[in-house]
Amino acid sequence: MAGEKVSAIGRFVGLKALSDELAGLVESAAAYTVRVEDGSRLTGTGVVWSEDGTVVTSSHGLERDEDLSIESSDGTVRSVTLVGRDPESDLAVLKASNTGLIAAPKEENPEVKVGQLVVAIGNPGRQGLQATLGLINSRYEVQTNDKPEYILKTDAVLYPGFSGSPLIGATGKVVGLVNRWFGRGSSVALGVPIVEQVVASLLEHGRVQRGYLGIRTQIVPLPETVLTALERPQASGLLIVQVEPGSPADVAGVLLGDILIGIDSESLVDVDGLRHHLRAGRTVQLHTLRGGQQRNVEATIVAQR
Amino acid sequence: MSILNGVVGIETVSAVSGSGELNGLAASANPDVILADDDATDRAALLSVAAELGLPVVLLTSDRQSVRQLSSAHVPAWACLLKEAEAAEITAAVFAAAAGLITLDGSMVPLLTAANVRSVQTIYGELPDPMSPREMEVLQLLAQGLPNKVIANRLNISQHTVKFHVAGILSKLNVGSRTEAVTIGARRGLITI
Repeated sequence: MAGEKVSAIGRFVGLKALSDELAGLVESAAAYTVRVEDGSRLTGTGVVWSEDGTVVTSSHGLERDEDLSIESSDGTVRSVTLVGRDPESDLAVLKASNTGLIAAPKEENPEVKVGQLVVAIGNPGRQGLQATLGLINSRYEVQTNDKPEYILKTDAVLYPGFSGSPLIGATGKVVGLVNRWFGRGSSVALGVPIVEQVVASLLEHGRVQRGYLGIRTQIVPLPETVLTALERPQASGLLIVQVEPGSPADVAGVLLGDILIGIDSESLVDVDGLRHHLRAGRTVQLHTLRGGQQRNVEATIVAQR
Repeated sequence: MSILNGVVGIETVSAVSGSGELNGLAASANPDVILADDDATDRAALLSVAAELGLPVVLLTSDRQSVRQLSSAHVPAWACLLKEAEAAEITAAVFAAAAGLITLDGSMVPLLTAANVRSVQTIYGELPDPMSPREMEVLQLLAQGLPNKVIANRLNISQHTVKFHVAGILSKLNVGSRTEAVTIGARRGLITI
């Protein structure tokens, strides 16, 4: 019996190696995964993005703008200032004045694939690093700029305070920045290209300039009679509840009471979808319903003032 | 329908009495709008034929309650005016209906209760505690990701006052962070995007 046990233990060499490597990966991430202290009860996690002291975290985790600090896993505390926030991507950029920080290595876009193993590493509380393991379940391509951008969905569990944590691939490089809130209950991470873009914009301008159409909308269920007339059935649309005079929407002839159902041949079922399409300088086709009839108008999105 | 004679842009293509005749004539005359002198006994039938033909209806009525029937009719657009409406009002209503708009006599507005306009009833109700104009301004600036200091400068108020307004916004929208406030605010139609 004893001999069988020994041979059974001896068979798990590969698993032991995987386990050790995962632990090693977490150890190496400790160098750039920081605890973000904003004075609130629950602190968040951040990633040292570049060696000049730029740290990225989630915007919703930061309750205040001042008296912020970061704590590295070796216990070093550095005070940081808020460079800016982007509510759209829920990212915030902080800057530490003193350097000596180690930046996270980042994975290039084509290497990030569905099915790959990922580890989420949080540093939210006083217990040190926390790690969870999962796969990249899906990859959503989103085009907000000229470069390919993507959002990753994972089954790695994200505990409270994990927003702003790195999602790390099997090469030990960061593939995305996790966000517990953005995914509305599911674990998602913003791919590195999205984060790069937002960080660059916040560092340069203090904010991310989003596109502006000049409307306020509310989601409405579409009546049954309208549904049957649509090319692609959709349960809801966006009722235009305000049109700013002189705005791109106004110029395009959008009226109060129109229901926005699509943009550039893509269905719009909520305002979050619309916000993702707003890129300054783009000319878009807005598909609206007026009196049950579909109308298509062209609008040129401008930069938000 | 002589009141519309001579109005540029409107041509009377056919005149019929009652919904029964409408069905047959409409196909050959190819009208854009049905202008109807209301007959309560034929109203439901008329609206049903109009819905089938996919034509807007301008109804001249003495019964203000008919606005409710019109609002739930499956017609692309409609107008509900009183029989004593001026020619200019009828003309405007015909053009509006052709453009897909809904027009009604001002006295009928209170009759359209929330239940009647449920087709445009949004899923969010009114906030229990509505936002003040200042809070709306702060929320709009939060949507741009601006920090308290910049918001204070823009609105010419102190940072302390900005913090006070942000706390009010979070409480009224029942959210825990600025980011959530912007997302919920945009969904509720409180932020111009």
